[in-house]
Amino acid sequence: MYLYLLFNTNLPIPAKTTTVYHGTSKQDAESIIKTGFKSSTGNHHWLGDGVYFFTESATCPQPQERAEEWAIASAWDNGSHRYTEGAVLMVEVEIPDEDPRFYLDLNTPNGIALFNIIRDRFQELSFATAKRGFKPKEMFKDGTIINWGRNHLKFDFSLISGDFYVKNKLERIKFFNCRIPNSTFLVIFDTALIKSTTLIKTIPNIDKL
Amino acid sequence: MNEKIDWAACVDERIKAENITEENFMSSLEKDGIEFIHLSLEEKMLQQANTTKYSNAISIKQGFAEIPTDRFNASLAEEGFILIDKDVESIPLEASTTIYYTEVTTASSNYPSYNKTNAQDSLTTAA
Repeated sequence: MYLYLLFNTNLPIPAKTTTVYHGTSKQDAESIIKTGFKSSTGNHHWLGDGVYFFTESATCPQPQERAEEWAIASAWDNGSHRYTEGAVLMVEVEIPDEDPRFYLDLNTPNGIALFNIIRDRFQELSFATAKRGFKPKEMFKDGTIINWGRNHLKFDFSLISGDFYVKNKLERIKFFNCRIPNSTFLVIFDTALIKSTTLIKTIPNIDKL
Repeated sequence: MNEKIDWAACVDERIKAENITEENFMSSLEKDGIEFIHLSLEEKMLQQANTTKYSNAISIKQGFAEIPTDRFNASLAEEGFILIDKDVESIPLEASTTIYYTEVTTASSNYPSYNKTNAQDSLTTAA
């Protein structure tokens, strides 16, 4: 029986899943549970358009804590608070394929090689039309490049992951800047890959934290 | 996935298939809402100064050798950078109560570090 299973290559390979975490307001968390996630859009995002989650890695061994810190940090807005109750959602995501044309994992040799080539070509085309620059406020081009790869080169990046330094609330208040990453994002563009969403924690009195 | 893939060829094929050229690249991005500006050399220098507040003025100046030092300093000053040190030509100003200053550079170092201090303290120390 076991040998049959081992050698019967016609059997479907079970899809891999991974658990990721999303920090937000309690109100938005309840809305997500009811109606699902909506993609963040814009070139200013770390990895372009998509739904952002913290995922476990050597850089980010406690993704749930990072999501909780994000829920607290994103409430704070220059001295006031956009919301006072936060929440953390636990999400099961299907990982369909390790081919970087679908899952661009920037921590793998293939993933970073593909990104670097897209970046090189983006730069070559940008700089070829000399005397033109990008607006100074647009400091980072990572999201622009990934969106260009998806929208113009027609790469079907359903999932993207990469490491970044993400500030907590106190680091935002104190203007504490670092570059060595403390977080790993898994960004989902194809929300059909989200298999389940569970509210696992609420964070009351965020304005007092 | 251990397959060896020629990513450069893969990307170049897509650029060709999508008919992306130097001529239409900018306009296609502008349709996506990405804005470009025409920059003079001096504007590029200021852009770099503004986006690298924590690096030093010397390294910025080295990238813009064509700009005379007095013009370099004047442009930075107009942008709110304060010049206090002969060795390092500017210090960036982040907030009204906080300034950055540099320790006196040693002859062997072209890359001094900035220390963030209270404005009064830093001026006293610098003096």
